[in-house]
Amino acid sequence: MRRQTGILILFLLLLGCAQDAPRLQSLELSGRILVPEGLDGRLEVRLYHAWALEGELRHPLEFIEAFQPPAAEFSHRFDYPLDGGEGLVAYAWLDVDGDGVLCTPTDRRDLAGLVAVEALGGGRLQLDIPLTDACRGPEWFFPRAR
Amino acid sequence: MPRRLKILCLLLASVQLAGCSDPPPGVLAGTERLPVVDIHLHTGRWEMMPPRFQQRLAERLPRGFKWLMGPFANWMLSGGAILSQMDAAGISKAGVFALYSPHTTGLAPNEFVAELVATNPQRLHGFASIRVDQWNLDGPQQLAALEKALTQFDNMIGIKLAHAHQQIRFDDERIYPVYELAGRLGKPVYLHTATSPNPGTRTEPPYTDPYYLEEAIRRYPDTIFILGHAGWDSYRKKLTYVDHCIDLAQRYPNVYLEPGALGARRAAEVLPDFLQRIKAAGIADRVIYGSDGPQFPGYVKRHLEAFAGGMQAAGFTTEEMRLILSGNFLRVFGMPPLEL
Repeated sequence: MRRQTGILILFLLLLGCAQDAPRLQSLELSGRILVPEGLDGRLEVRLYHAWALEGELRHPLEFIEAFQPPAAEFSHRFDYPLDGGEGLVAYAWLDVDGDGVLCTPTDRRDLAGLVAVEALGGGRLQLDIPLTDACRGPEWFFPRAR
Repeated sequence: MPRRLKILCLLLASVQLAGCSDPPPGVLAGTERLPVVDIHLHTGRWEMMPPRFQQRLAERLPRGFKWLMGPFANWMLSGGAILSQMDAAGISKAGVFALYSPHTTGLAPNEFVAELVATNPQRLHGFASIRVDQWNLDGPQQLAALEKALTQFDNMIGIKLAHAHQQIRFDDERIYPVYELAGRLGKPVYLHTATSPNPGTRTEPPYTDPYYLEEAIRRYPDTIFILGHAGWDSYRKKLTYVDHCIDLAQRYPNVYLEPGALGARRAAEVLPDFLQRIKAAGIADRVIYGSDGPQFPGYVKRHLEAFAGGMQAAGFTTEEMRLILSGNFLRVFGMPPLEL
């Protein structure tokens, strides 16, 4: 009896150590960041799950990764975590003043925009991200008002 | 019972009793004991935390025992355990925060906090919060829910916001109505400033630098803004935004600072520098003590000891210590002086 209990405890302890490997889907993004004419600067794209978790903890914009495309026309491959949430949101901003921060309290020129993708398709996505608003984080744009 | 076993039991019982005997309330400053209020304590439930935050908490336990963290966290964050930590530290009163941070630290709903503080309304006071992550869809409803929590629950004395945890910029004017509400109802707003080591927390300046709040501070002069953590950048372990907080407190009469977690071991290297900056700025009448507990057993007491000891080492007068440890809180929240 004692031995069986010991084995059971050992099994439970080992179970506590087990971790599943994350399930990933390789995605190829390509597209354009629509920068208003006459503006220039470093670009950053941030990728998010549109929604994550369930119940009361369900929330929008679960961060996946960020990258800096060298030009407005870009392509980028990344691993989409299948268990991290649903959908895809691509948010971009342009560092017009070159300070590395999306606006300061006194310099409000940097521009941002966002596009949401509902279906991931077969691993290739074409996106156009219009930069529409100054000094706005992704939470300003998404979820959109009905 | 064998004699050895009896002796062992007696020893264990005496150690237990020694460990449980609470110190006299307050902090000794010179010959005087000063009452203490801790504005910054948390509650919650394990099942209301996102998995990533649960994993971070469970890192404190060795492999194979991580499953114990859930029941342990629920006990640590219960009203009874919070009061035990306050007793062990000699703290008279505390603020307990509601949370709506589904990306990072999870939820502690207003109703949950209201129930908890109702168990000891003389000592526990609630701070209501508001969900902001789907503001474009439900902002007005969330604002109405906050107003209801502040007006209908007993003992809700203020509002808690954590922009970096809640993923909203300090300069996002969509939530300015929260500050208008706070001013109208006379409920001070506690705002987490700078970063935190919790996964998912925003670390960029618009979410962490209190200078981005200045427009709101200026626009709502009847609202008290308590800048939580006083700009302590705990993610980078630096006093990144402390001078910005001090500057705002010097220029605006409706700004206060709270040093939560600066008495923690993680901040031991920067605490003397922090206290020297506060002392040099002459803003002891604008600092409200808080710890960011309960964290783990003994944390609230250890934090207070480190912070009070640091103030004495930095040359704070007894009167300055009295203001920081309880006087400013009691004045801002309109409560009578505490007697020990």
